[in-house]
Amino acid sequence: MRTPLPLLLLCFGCTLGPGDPFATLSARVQASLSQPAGRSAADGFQRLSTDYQVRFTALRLDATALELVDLGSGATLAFDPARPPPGYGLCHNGHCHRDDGALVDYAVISAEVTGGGGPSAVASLPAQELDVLAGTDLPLSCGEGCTLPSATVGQVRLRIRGLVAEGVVRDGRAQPRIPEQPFRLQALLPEGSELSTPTAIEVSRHASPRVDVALTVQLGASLLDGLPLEQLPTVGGALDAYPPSMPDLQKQVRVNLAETGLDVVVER
Amino acid sequence: MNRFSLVLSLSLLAGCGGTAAPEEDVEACEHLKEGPGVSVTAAKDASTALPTVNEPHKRHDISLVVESNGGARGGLVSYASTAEGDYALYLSVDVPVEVTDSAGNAVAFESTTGSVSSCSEVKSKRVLELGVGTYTFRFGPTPQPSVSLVVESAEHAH
Repeated sequence: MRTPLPLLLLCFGCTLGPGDPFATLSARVQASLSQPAGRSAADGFQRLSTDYQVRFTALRLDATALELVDLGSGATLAFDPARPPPGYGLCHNGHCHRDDGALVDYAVISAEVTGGGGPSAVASLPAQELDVLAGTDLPLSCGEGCTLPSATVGQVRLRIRGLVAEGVVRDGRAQPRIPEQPFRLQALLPEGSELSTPTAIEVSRHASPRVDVALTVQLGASLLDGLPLEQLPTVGGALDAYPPSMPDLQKQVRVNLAETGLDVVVER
Repeated sequence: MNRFSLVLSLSLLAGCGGTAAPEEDVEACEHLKEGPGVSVTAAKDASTALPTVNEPHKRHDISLVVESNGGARGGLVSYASTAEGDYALYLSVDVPVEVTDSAGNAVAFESTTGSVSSCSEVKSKRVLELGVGTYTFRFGPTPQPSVSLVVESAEHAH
């Protein structure tokens, strides 16, 4: 039997009673090692843009929260990324480098430029350290507060505060610049650091009252692209790939991290 | 013009000129015209670290050095590729270019064209396949004192 459309709409309307939230949220975050074919080298190593090769023995990203963001007026790009506004430098892949070293999302800068209401998180779910090599698959809990207000969610972002990578590095060139040796990258990231990806989730009386979000983070050898490993200091028997004395290299790591592949799947 | 003629004319127009310019051509034209530009001076040889032309979404204005007694110019720069795939080199003047990998092996161009439909600033477009790694671009010999270069991913060119 075919159910008349008006009856279906009527039933859907009944799912939201007076005082009910517009939607309930469930979310999970997954982490995995990025291994594109073009980077694959022998013995489990991955190629870098500098012709060095790395093999990871540890790779962990310290995530503090997954957030759903209503971009507000920042939803419309209000500046030319090739000519960022004063106070910002290189803009790429949805972020610009602020002069103080922070990576700032295009939406935030657009809101600053237009003077309109900036992005705001409509949901924030606590996260924790993600073990990339182990392939963490972490359901996120928000206690009794997994509800969403009416909003147009334009971005999913992962708040992060640290990164640890350890392993072995070798030179892929015929004349090695350095011998094969351990490396360690231990980064405490600037406050407000995040990874983000665009999305389009309408939360309203006219949309499904259920929102399931699955965010996947893919990290890999690209974190170390562009680093002159032959110049790195050795600390405790390992190359220090985030040396405090070399802020430009630290910045390069943060740029590489900002390029991290982030995929979001939303089911309603 | 009756309605049938109008529809026919529009269809013919679409058939003649319906192919959109490759996205990377449009992007390269924008950067060649408007920058932002980064100035580098090519190295005469590889005895020291080569200047890099890695900046995404920028035009690299490369000063070429005198390489011979006859006054011919040229020089070397370095490009670090972070992904395997096709790339397009857009040049503001048509000068000879050779590309080699870190082992010194020559990388052949898949195609070379003298211009693109998107703008007049491009005088040479060369497409080649690169892997992840560092490559050397050798310019010259040429009488030109400089050349501007934009590198774009050309994955959607095929």
